Amino acid sequence: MAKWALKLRIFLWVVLAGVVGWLLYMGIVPTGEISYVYDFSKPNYFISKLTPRERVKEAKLLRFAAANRRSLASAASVIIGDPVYFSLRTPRRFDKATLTLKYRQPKETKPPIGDLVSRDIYAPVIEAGILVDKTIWRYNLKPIDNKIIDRLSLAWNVIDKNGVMLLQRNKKYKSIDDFLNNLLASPKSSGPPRNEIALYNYDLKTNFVLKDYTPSELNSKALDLSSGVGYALRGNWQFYTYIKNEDLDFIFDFQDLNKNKDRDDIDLFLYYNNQLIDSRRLEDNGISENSGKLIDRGEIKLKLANLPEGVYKIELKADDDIITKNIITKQQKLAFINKLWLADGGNSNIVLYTDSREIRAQTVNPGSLQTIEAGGSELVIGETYKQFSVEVGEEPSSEASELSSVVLEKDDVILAGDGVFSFSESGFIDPKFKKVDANLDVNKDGINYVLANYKIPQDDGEWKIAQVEFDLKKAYSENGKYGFLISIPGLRADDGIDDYVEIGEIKIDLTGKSLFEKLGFAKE
Amino acid sequence: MFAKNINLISEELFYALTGALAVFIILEIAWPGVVLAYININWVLILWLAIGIVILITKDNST
Repeated sequence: MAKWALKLRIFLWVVLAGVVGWLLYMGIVPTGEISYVYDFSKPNYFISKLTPRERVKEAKLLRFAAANRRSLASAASVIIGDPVYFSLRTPRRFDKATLTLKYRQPKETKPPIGDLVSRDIYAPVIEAGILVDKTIWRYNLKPIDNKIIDRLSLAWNVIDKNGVMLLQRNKKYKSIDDFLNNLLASPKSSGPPRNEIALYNYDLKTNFVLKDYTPSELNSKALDLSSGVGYALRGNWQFYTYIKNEDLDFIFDFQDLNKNKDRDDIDLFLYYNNQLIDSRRLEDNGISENSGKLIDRGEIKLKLANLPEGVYKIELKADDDIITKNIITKQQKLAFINKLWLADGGNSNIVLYTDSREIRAQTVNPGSLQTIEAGGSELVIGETYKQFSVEVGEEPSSEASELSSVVLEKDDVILAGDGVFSFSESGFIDPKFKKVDANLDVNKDGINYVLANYKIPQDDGEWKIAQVEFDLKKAYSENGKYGFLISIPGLRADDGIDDYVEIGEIKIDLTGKSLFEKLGFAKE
Repeated sequence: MFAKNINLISEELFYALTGALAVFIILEIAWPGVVLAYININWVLILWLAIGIVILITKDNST
């Protein structure tokens, strides 16, 4: 063999060894830190395309033009409907993901002078989330862009500390601590009234107290009779209830529709001040079938004594096979948070009460197509498997009430909104602060303070850049794949409006334990 | 002479690519995604086949 041929052989095998070494290095990520970037110019193995296809267009395929449309980037993904999803494939486990989103929107027409807080701001909120629970498809959402806060920050007094922003219509508090101390000191103190505060991505723990509440034992109406929810509910739900010098007393009765083959475990969680304080579990009955045969799954009793006065949240985590046939309780307050699915039980003319500004409804049952009345507005559900929405009318449910009534002709409808839903006016309770989203009107709602855990996105020429962090230890992953979502409430693919959000680049920085830490050579 | 050198180079490349394909396939089976994330094995296979054809052509000429 010629000498040069031997040298070539050695060189080629060294190159191969180098390539294999590099592949192993990229797979093991010994430093514990790696970045993946998807700029839409070519497919990316780690970050998937945005889906579903009906809500995403590739920039280069778009030919239509509008007066306010920018020239689209050669490689970008254009979101025209909410929400869209993508996945991240990781070669090994990491602890934290930092998502950097480069995006832009059509140039907005200038708002009228003084109208810094118009509700008509186009797609005012963009959020990104990571899937944390696959059973109930829950995403942990983080803020990307909130134009309402962006605009308020131009007109109101702003105090920014460690990423927390306090916006005041008129400056009254010198610092965020000053504001919080006044708010938390006492409900009777000179602190800001609850109804003047709106929050965004901020968990403000305050004791919500109902002044005129009389405990069940002392309430003649509830003395002898157990009240409850008279309608069966399907799938997961969560509701607020209120306790004062009384036991928390619930009996939940469950059934299984057996429509899918998955395990149908039933988990019930009790929260106080957003802290889990108790839980119950009904294991799957072991019969994994899709026979469609309705079977009883038994009941869960939740009875706890000596609980402090306040609002409690009860959450059911179960898939759509599970029917909550009945909820029997002595509690007087019971209001479902954001969503409930009234199961098919042949009921008609169902009345609910809500403080939602917008409601959404959907059905999978052709027999449940109907017109829903919501505070004087009408919402026509004309198709199955499609969500319809309407702004709730301003007609109150009664003269003295601020609530709106929602009247359903038939059940088997998934009803959702930005507020809570109760089956009686007296049972209504909503301890949540108002949220700074598309449904908020700061002037009409009398908001004077906004507290937000939010960072205004960076401006990079025509593009905006926002960054959010996710805890991957709490996220759901399957075969090393994490599910992400980009939520832009108000953006609809089928509304005929030329609105969109253009995504120029998705970058994900992953951090986790280094190889040395994994092997135990270094402090974790 | 030229054809002989081409044949020799092709042979060395062929051996290296055979090794690469074997290693990549074993790695991919053992740790899905570790190779395909960065290298499209289809192209390696096409290159391997092309070099195999070059060897067959140049072998006749060199002898």
